[in-house]
Amino acid sequence: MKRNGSGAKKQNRIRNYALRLAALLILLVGGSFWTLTGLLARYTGGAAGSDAAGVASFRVSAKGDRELLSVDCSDADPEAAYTIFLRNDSGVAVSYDVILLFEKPLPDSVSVTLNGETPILSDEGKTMTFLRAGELAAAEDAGASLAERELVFAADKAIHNELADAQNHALSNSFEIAVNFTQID
Amino acid sequence: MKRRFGGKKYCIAAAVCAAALMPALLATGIWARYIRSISWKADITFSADLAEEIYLVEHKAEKQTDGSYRLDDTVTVTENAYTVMPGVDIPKDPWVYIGNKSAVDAWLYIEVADGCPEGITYSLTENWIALKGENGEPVTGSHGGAVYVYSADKMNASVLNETFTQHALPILQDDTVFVSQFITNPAGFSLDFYGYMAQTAEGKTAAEVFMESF
Repeated sequence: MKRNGSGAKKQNRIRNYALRLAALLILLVGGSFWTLTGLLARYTGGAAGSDAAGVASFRVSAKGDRELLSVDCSDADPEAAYTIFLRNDSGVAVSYDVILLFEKPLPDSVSVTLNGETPILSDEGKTMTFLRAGELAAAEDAGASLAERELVFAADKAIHNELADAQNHALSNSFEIAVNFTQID
Repeated sequence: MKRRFGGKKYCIAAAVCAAALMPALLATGIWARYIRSISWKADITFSADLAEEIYLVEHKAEKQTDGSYRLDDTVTVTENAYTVMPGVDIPKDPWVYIGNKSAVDAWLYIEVADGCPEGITYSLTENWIALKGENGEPVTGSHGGAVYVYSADKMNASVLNETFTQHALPILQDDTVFVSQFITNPAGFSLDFYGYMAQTAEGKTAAEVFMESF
């Protein structure tokens, strides 16, 4: 009897323990499910009334209109425009920064704008950053979300003095254009 | 029995751990943001010319039956050859032609390489003023001739600071080289003109720029 009594107690303890664990599991799974259906719905998509859902893809692209940009400073207010094409095929909206990394600093007489906005210039003058340069809406069934941004290089008359000292009266520079896309919804 | 109970315990512990990790995994997914950087390279060049064209030219001189010359307004040449007769003036109308001048500030010069003997004379138009060095000495060009700088006001050197499509600046006053009737040895001489254009430099005179540039 004694033996039987202690065995029953042990079994009860195990049952209680298991029940508590089961309750905890139900709580955790329930919480996770709530989280999934609530927050994660932001970047999943599905038609109303349908039980289908898919994780949004992330496909963005950017390119320039050419590789060589010439600024003819023969005019009084020389400037040249360079177009950046942006495309968002994602199911999410994105914002983007545009960063220009020059091999050497541009002359002081040269200014750069992106759709009229001026950049943040690094101390050494070789990096120009256009923070939050724009946003692209999420792509829809109709197609990708597209944008064009115009990078304008303008010089004032002082460029002529710098060209006078330059070899062949020309100043050349290489630069890298980086577009950093970030999901915003 | 003990071993079986121990196995069950491990299973339960594993289940608890998995359940506890699930929200963390989900949270990571929820707060993650898609980020992508795309980059490419390009080159940029700034350049400027003073002008697309600068040259000297004159109308063709045609010899008449009486030995004199007449300029043909329809034909331009870069040089004319004349047979000079005492007392017969020579028509000659050289001019500096500038085509598509840029906005770059510039001085315009001519050099006159004068190999004329006594009795052959000419004058430059008043828009050309003799270029003088620091001590007032005449500036000479690479051909040994005197250098003159263009002056719009006929007093001071003028900076060509505007764009224009074309401009022709005459060199000789009255477009004539005068020949004295008393000239003794008129054969074998030359009168040459050379044109120059140079960008201005801050703090430097037209003479200094010419001497540094040419």
